[in-house]
Amino acid sequence: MIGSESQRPFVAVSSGRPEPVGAADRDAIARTLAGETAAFEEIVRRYERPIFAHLLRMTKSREDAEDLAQETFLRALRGLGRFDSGQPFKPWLYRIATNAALTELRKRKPNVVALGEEMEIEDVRTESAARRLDGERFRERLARAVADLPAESAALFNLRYGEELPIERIAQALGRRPGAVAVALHRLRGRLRALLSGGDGHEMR
Amino acid sequence: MKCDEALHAMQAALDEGRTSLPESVRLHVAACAGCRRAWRQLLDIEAGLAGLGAESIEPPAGLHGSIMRALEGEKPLGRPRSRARRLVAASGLAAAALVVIFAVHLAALNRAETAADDRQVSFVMPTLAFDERALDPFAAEIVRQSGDDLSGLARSFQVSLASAQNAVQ
Repeated sequence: MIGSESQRPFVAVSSGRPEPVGAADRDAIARTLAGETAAFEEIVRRYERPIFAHLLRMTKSREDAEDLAQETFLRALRGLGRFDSGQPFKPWLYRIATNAALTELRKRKPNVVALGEEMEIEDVRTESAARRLDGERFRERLARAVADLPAESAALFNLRYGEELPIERIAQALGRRPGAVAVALHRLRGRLRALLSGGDGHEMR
Repeated sequence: MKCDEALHAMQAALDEGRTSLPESVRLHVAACAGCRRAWRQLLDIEAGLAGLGAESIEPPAGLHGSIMRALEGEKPLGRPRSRARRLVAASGLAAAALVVIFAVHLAALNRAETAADDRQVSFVMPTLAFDERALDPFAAEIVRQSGDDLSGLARSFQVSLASAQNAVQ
């Protein structure tokens, strides 16, 4: 029934106020800044897996993701004194990772597609209703479309659906305005919907 | 309600993690087969993306070791200062600089007036060089952003003093 679906892909965390740095992060950051650099290893342990996943989704290369994870934590340690403890730590760290990946990718391929620009997702709108994809095939094609996302859109996907961050936190992590993130997210969903749509005039803009 | 508006409302609902729609949108969707289909597709996509996002990605076994090796001998650069402390420090510095500049300016004007009264030609030109480079970078930024910057103010005072000097001569 419309409006009463029980599916809830993720829990919204949009309080409108910045979440304080978690107590564990705050403690590790404070000790690191006080000179106990070994305390930074706690930060590394807490975030190395999700940061690697984020970078892998962006670069599509495990080797690059590992190198960039090292770069991310190195930049984070060096720049820890500039971190504003009144802001959440996670978007700050993801911004470092995202920028490191985009910088590296642009070195290799200057025309890396920016967030919200055209995304090359296979368009099957011309398929007739009779050939619409069944559930399994839809999931496969959705997975393939996500795997082929350009770097910044892949970062958006990971922050939204992997890390389950609300839009304002994604905006902080990507260094974008929340409105731009929302538009990019709408376009992403709209283009993915083309996988199912038969071109019935209800396309997303 | 138009279909475009309904589609936008659907997206906005998903943005906020909601899978229910406002009443006005529900009424439209109930009466519009295209929007009903679009909403179901969007819910499928949202669930599919959430499923893909939740898939575990196994990092290389040596990831932790390679990161820690990269961090060997490294430490945070620069002084850790909270934003509030930096703001207070910068504001205090800027206020102190203003007071000093005004004091020097007034003293110089007094000297100029005295010199004019005495019809003396000699005049001591105060130096009001305001070197932003001596400031903390954050303080310099505050100074730069506070309207006409202080070095500009100092320069304008120098110009006015030079005019006074010329008048005396």
